[in-house]
Amino acid sequence: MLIPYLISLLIAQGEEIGWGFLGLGLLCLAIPIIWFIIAIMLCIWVYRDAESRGMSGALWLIIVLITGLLGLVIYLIVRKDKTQAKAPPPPP
Amino acid sequence: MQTAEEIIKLFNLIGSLVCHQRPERTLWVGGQYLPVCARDTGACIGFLLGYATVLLFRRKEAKGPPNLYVTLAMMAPLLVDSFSQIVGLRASTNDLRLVTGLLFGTALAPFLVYALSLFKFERRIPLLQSLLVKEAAPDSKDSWLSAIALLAGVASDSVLFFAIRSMAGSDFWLYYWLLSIPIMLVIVLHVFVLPLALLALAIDKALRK
Repeated sequence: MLIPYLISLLIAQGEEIGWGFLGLGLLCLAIPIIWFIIAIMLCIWVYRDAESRGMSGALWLIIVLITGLLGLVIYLIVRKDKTQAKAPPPPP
Repeated sequence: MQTAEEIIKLFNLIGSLVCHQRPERTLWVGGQYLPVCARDTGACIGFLLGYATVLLFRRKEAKGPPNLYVTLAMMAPLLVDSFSQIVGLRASTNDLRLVTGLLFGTALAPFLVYALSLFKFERRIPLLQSLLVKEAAPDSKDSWLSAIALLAGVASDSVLFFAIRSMAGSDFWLYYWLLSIPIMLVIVLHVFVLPLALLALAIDKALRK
């Protein structure tokens, strides 16, 4: 819904103030989408890494999705060591 | 003179894509408002300083991330300052916005380079390739950029803060260009060139599979 609306708005602006601005406008529309894709790639890495360490992948995925690189810094500080995660449970 | 005005208009247009450009929060330098607010000015200049820190102090053989505690400590002031202002607890000043932006940018640039090193692309990332960590291993305790290197960045931030602060309010035209050109360089690189390049590299990697 939003994207066709923005595109029609940009086309109207392009007719009014020149097609160079339309190109710039379309680029501006594309950039957040691309950053979102990069953020998703980062989140996937965090999810897999957290799961492999016995941590909640979904929780960290959400945190990094919301906070971006800051969330990644915090994740790298608090994540468990792999050896710690794979250690067998203590005998009863 | 008309060309300079056209360039300033273009800078302001590009700045408006990433910043609110509110006059009361923007530094007046060289007879003009800078293209972005004080906080973004600090972040952009800080980014360049962060890259310079990487170039000068990185340990090429190390695989671990930049010191995470110092990175977080450098990012935190901007978050506290912004958040407390947004929720209406207090009002910030341009000096605080500038210094927190500088610290944030200086810490974020090395971490961004390290984060990009985690993705194994088949081709080179334009401009940043030479800075990337060859074999990034976030588990490694051997830090690629030590706490001391980041603290050297903090020291440089304080020098830059006083330099930019002394330029603010001045009508000497050269100061405007000294600050606005690096700011534009950082914005164009990170907002336009880098995401498009990463998308192209990701598509390329997917097609090769």
